[in-house]
Amino acid sequence: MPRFFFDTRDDEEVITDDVGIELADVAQAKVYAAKSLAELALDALPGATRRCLGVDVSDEEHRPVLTTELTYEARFVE
Amino acid sequence: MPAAPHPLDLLVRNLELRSPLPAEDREAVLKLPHTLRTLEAGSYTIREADAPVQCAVLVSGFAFRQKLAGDGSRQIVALHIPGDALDFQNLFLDVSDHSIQMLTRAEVAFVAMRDLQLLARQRSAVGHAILVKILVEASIFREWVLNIGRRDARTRVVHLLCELGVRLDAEGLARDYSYDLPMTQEQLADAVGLTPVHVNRTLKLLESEGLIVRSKRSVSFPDWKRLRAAGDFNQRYLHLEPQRSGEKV
Repeated sequence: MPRFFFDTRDDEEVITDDVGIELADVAQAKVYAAKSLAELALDALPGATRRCLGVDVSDEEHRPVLTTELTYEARFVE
Repeated sequence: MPAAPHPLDLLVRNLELRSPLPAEDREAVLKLPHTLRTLEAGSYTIREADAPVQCAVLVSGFAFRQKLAGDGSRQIVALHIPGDALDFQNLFLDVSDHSIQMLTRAEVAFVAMRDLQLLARQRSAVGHAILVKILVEASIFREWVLNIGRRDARTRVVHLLCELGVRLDAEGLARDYSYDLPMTQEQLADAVGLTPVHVNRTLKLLESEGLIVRSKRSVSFPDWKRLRAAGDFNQRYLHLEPQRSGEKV
């Protein structure tokens, strides 16, 4: 199975994945990216007003294959 | 040259950590007939739905207990270190409700479940020590439910690292709580109920904060006090002292 690398973004803070995960294909990598993004949001959003989270996937040759992003904004209603 | 250590020595030490045994009971445990085998990482000692006919005792290496969800995703529900008897949880059950696999290459002593059942019934001090160990395993399960159900990713991962450090230290298998972490990020993820992606990010952030230092597979902790605080870690649930309750009943 091919290996995919998942770099994670929390606003400007990028963490590069140098371990990677073996997955069947890009479709499965997309599922992993979505789950990871939801998990990151669970810890990052409480207390935040604006936040942009992302998971960027690259293949074994470190070529980008998928980018995902979640933007959050909280507004109190006047 | 010192004599080769008895394969069940660590089991005795593991039991006596909480329940000191009279000499004849200690001898009776050591006299349990057993077969010593070396198992590769990933090997199973028991699978869900198997009848537990033997009890695996971990002599060296690490093991884990796991259950699978309907969609095939795995939850690691417990980690085991040398000295642990892997099938106390199955001691008087007809069918295993979970599987046990080696995390690393490991030496395992297999004892017939019948012999262990007999020993537990005939020697009350041994039966008591096994019961205490099973109660502590239940306490660890409760802590894991709390960890996975209510703590954020960072706290969860740190809590698990603290637990392993303290358990290994109590058995004399770690120095200053640092040890070889025998787990891949995927296994770590399955133990804390997170994706490997999130675990990877969390470990890197912990490293950049100076809370953990990793080199190859070993992990050490420069500031244990700060780490414990970050992991919401209180070792009460491990009950590492001799348990006096019931001694004079």
